[in-house]
Amino acid sequence: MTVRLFALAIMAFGLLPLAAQADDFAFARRLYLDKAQCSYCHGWAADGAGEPQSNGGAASLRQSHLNRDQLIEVIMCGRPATPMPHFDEQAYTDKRCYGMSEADLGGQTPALPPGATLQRREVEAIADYLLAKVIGRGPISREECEEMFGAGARSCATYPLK
Amino acid sequence: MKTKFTAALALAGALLAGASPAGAADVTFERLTNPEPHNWLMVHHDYSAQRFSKLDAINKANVKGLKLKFAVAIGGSSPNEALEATPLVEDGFMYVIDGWGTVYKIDVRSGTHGRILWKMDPGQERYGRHRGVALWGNLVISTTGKDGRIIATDKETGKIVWDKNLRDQPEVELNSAPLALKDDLIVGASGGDQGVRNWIASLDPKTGNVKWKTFSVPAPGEPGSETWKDKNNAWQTGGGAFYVTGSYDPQTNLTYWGSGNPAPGYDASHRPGDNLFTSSAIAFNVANGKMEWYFQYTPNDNRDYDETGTHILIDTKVNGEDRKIVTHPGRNGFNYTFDRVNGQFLKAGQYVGKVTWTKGIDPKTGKPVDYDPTKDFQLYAEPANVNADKTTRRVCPDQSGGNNFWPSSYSPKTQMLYIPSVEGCSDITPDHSAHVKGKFAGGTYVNPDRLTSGIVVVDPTTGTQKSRKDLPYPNSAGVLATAGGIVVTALLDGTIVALDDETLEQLWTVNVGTGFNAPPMTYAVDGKQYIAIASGLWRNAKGKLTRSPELRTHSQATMIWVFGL
Repeated sequence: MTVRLFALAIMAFGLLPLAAQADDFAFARRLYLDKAQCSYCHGWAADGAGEPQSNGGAASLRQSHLNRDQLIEVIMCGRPATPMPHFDEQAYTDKRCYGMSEADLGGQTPALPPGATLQRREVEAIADYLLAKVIGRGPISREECEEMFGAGARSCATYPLK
Repeated sequence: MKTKFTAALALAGALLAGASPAGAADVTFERLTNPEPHNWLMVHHDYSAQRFSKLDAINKANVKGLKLKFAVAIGGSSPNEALEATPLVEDGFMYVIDGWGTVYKIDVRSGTHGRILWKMDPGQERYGRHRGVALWGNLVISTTGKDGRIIATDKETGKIVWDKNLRDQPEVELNSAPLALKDDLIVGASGGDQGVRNWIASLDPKTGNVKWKTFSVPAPGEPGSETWKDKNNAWQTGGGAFYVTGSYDPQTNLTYWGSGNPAPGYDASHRPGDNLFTSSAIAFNVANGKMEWYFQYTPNDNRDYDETGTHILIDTKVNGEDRKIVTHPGRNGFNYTFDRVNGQFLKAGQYVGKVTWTKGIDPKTGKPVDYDPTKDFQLYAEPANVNADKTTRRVCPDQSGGNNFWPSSYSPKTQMLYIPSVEGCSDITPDHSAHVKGKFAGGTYVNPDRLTSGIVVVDPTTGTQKSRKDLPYPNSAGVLATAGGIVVTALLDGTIVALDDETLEQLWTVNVGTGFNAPPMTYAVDGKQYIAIASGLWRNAKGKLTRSPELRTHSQATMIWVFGL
């Protein structure tokens, strides 16, 4: 009995790193879909296919050439003169973003996101997720869709398996 | 036993309020045609979509005493939830749907609290917008957004009776409330802006089987296909959504729906021609799904001026003659009136404060005066190149209207239409590459300035504006008018107001701290009248507050609020 329990403990311990690995981006996905609602404009797969009632014209991040620092900057600061909002609550209250404040930019100042703003560590998590799982990934697959919506999701059935 | 039954009948005749769940009556075609004043049995209240209630217990004289009676939290299982549905009430029981397609039955008989009796969770995979449910027989009929399913739930038990999948295209979306008729459930499909070829269908209410299905965009060779002059099969992704429930005339068996814009919405270069039957009023024959007549409001639109908002049926006099009319506050800023039997255009009049896209509507044809039928691309009158980048154009009203899914109300008492009108403009930048799968908007827009709104009183028989009341924030809720002489509406900042239906004087107001993009409705239990409304802004409505910086920290809660005296 003790031996069996011990064996189970070893198995469970051995499995832990794997489970943690599979879960690496769960936090970032939750931010992407729910807290920051990036998906509203960029689409769940970040291909630019957002909700039809969004402002439209959101970038496809799958083809993004931005590096980690640039991704973080765009998420924190938004893009002036476009609907991309700034997720740093204090952006444009001083010159932390592109060296400009709201007084410099006027009507071109990016808006606050309609949902929640983000902390820097959250923005970093989203950038790391985009670099690891989205940018340069190629066509959307059922595998990727199920990573987002869970195994067996009906709405993933229209995508090719891999 | 017989005596008890007779007594129950008598009570029902007086005011059927305290019906026990076990004895709840079926919702018959007769009841839907002549709804009891204390009930609200379909999304637009009645088949004519007037959203007018005969209840007058709450009225001009006493509405200042209106107070919150109770509230019910809806959803709460995920962030960023929103409610766009009109609650239905039948004999003291409320039916409402949330963004997960979950249907709630709430016991509101006490007048002091609402108790959720059951929830039907369809397992919808992605959060969406739902504008209401339908009642038919002993069933509650609901939609599941991008899951593309229609579900019939037993009104008493909350158990699913049938569940039909109508998802014929990956991006198709079902968010308007179904329209329950005698032997038909009319369902409108949307998702048009994502490159969906939209349709309207009739289902057998007993089984959910499809009886007929008619597309808003014709296939090659079908009537209207000559107005799609492209060589890239734009018809397959042509749009023409039906995201607001239509109206119905039992005498002619015609149902009237407004269709959405052509897709890609902001870029007409992909789809030269008038793009029938998008941005149109369409009368469908319920017997077979055939179009009996249509009228296209804005041919070859490229400002997202779809016309899916309510088409309101009124029997009245026009120029001294008895006419059966249909009237429609257009997203494009004009109110239009037609003879609903033959589709003859009668009147149009501007109701929004500012229109720049056209110089006006031709009083004979109903078309924009700058419409040129010989051209493949309609330029109309918009000022070009208002911004430095040369491609952006400013259009008024805002791309979302004017008026949209937030419905107007017609009061037979004043014979006036009360239009919740959004005032403002948008800067649209077309993108000629945005017409591929997954990226179909054809461009992008921003609101350059603050948006506001008004309640505009329009005489539908002349098209003329009688008066207006300006309000400080945009309206995405809609209007309720009642025999008590009040007009109720709500704004994105969480304010509800009751106005005098003649003077538009503000008689009562409250701010609940969460925004409204669902319409107000009213019902009565035991002779006591209540006004109910769902709160919680959808992302798009929140975006309309981008230029209202004082609301930048505004938060949302999905609740049903119930007010009474």
